[in-house]
Amino acid sequence: MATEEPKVENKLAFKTVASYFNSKTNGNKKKTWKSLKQIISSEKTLPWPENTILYSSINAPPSFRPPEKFSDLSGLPAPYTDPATRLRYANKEEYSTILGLPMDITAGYLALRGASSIVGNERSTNAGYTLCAMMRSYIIKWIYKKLLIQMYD
Amino acid sequence: MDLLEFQDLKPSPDIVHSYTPSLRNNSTPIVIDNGSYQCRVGWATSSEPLLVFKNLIAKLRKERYKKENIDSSQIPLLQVGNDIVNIETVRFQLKSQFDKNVVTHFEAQEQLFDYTFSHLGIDNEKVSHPIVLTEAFVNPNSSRQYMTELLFECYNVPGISYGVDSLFGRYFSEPQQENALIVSLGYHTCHVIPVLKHKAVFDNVRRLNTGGHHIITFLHRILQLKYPAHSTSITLSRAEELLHTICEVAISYKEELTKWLDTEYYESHIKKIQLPYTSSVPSSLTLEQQKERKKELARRLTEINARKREERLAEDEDKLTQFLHIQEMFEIGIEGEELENALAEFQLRNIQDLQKNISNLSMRIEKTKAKMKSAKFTDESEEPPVKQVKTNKMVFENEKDLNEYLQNIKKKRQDILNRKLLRKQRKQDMAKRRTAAGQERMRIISQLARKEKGNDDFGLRDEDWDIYKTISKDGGDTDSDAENEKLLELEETIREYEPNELEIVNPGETYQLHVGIERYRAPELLFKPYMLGSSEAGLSEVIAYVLSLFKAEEQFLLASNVVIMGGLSSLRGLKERILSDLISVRPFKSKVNVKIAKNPGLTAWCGAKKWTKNPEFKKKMLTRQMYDEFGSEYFVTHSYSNPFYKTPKGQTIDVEAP
Repeated sequence: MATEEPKVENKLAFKTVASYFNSKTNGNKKKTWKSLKQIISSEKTLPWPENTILYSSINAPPSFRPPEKFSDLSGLPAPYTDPATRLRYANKEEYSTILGLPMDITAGYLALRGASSIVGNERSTNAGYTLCAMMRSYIIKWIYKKLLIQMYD
Repeated sequence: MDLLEFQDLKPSPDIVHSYTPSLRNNSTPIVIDNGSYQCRVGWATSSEPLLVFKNLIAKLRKERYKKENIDSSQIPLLQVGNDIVNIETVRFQLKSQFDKNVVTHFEAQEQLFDYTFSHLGIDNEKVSHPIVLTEAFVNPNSSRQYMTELLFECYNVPGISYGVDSLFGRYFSEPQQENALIVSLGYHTCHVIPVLKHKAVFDNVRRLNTGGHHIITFLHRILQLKYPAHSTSITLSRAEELLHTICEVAISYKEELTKWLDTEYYESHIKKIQLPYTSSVPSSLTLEQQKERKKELARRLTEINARKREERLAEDEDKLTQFLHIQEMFEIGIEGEELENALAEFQLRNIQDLQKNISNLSMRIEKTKAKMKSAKFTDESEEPPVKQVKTNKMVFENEKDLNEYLQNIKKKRQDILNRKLLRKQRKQDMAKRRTAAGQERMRIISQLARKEKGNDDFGLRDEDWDIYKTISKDGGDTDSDAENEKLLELEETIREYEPNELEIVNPGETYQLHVGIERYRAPELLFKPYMLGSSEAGLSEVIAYVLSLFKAEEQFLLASNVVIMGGLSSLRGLKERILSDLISVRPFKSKVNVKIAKNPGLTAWCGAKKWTKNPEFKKKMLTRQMYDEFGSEYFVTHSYSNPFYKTPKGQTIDVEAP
């Protein structure tokens, strides 16, 4: 593999410069590359003619079927949810396992399902929905507090 | 059930291929299928890709590089593609030019092109070959711009032809069929592409942002969570291996799950995978043998000691006789030189010294003899207590008594275990907010706090301290050492009478992964992205959706020729699943046909190669001249490429002028 060695430092025979994009930037400033997300969002802002198909326009539609619930541990259909950890489980054996699980494992299961948001709502991909849910929960808490104070007095 | 083991295949470094004169002089096109998982490269004249490597770069840190000063010159700082010997050791230094299925990081792309061209053996001052390059479906303009710029400015290629991998794939595997519904399963994304009269209907293409990568990471994580102790030995490459060896797509996921509920089915269908482990050898000896060995060792030691003592004794006695001899000489009356010489031989100064020495020696001999006697005595006396320990076992009159005794002990053990569990439960309940125990605790605390400040006599009475006990999270008592000791003792007793009861499992067994439903659960992600928290529709739903965008007769044409391609097509059961899902959404008795493209991973490359043979190819190439004239954004479209939309003016995409 002797032929490979020069490629680290030296420029290759077929190239004009050792590193094209580095040679273009002046000074030590390293070029930062936009992520796909940034590219898409900047693409979206442009006044494209009608019927233009962009990367963002061929996304799959949202699912119209209700998501089924599966146990986080075993994958079996899960009729129950543990209110404390928010984990779904299929039977009592699994529940007893959940009780013994350390925090990082339960958090790992939730993160895997994409349900680890603070509000604990599964459909949290919808930002507006999340905000609504948060507001609602705050208002309910506030009313509850007022009521409690009244009761004690 | 036989055990499976991980192969842990390592990539073999690519060789530098020879740059033959025929390639050099004919400007043979280079065909590159630049996928987000693998890159496949070959000449248009070769029958299959010469280079197949993962599109990855490992940038090793400098400190690490310095440390391995032994043959450090052989380890390059930058490892590309198949040079990466063990991907897991450099997992955190890995870089790819891809963000999902789009090339965004062109510095990395440049390094990968360097690798590509140098391994093709090119040694000219420029790459004087047209490039056929695959790209993502509706690749954003800015991404293609950089690519064009890189290839023309840096490598001085004469021309480029861009194409979409799945369209090339169809061109290769289904050239005569004018209608098809391509289901392309990629590493980061899956595409459903309707093709009517040899033309892709771009409006109705849909992309599912779930792919092989998601399946692998899901499988990886789910196994790590299932076996937290082995989380380091469950690696991504191993998860990938599992996906290709044991994973399957269930034809009906619901039915598959109900089957797994049955223990017998579970036992017979579970895959057991042995992780590598090193067993601890000494455990093979029984307790008896260990004791025996210890005793043997002790005996040998005492033997050695005794022998040493005897030797010393003999030496001393010898010396003593010599000294006595000298003394005799002195007593007889021999004086002068002879006596002086005799004394000097033993480094003695005078007669007094000699006498002192004699008395010392005789005392020592006396002592050693006494010691030897006592050693022999203790040797014999040591035996009885050892035997006493062994006969610790209680003697029972009959079987029934023994059983009763055992039951009693087991019950005690269970009691302790139950108590521990209860305590744990209580502790958890206390810590949580919404449980009855937690609320009771909060109530007590708030009542205590409510008491007026003036007459705070809390703590004067003994009962006040009980409150602390009730509200402390431990519930007043914790797992005490005494209890733990008792538990150990009980277990010891049970083990003594019923050795099989608490038998320790074979060490290899603790290093086994049991992969059951996970085999079906991971590939199911394609059909149920919501299992990962995505709100997108699943693959079958997307296919149905795409079909619904067409007229009835067009739907019929598409559904009768569904072609699956891409790296995931080799998953067992995938074809059947898509077929059965498709039948369920199609009208009764309508024609539905699903097939997998042959050699699904390579179809895109082969199609791109076929394109170079097409008479259209030369005409539809983006040349250097066009690049200079129309700018870096422009490219020539053809029947297997993306459509071209000029980026509207007044935009913000920042591209430096070439």
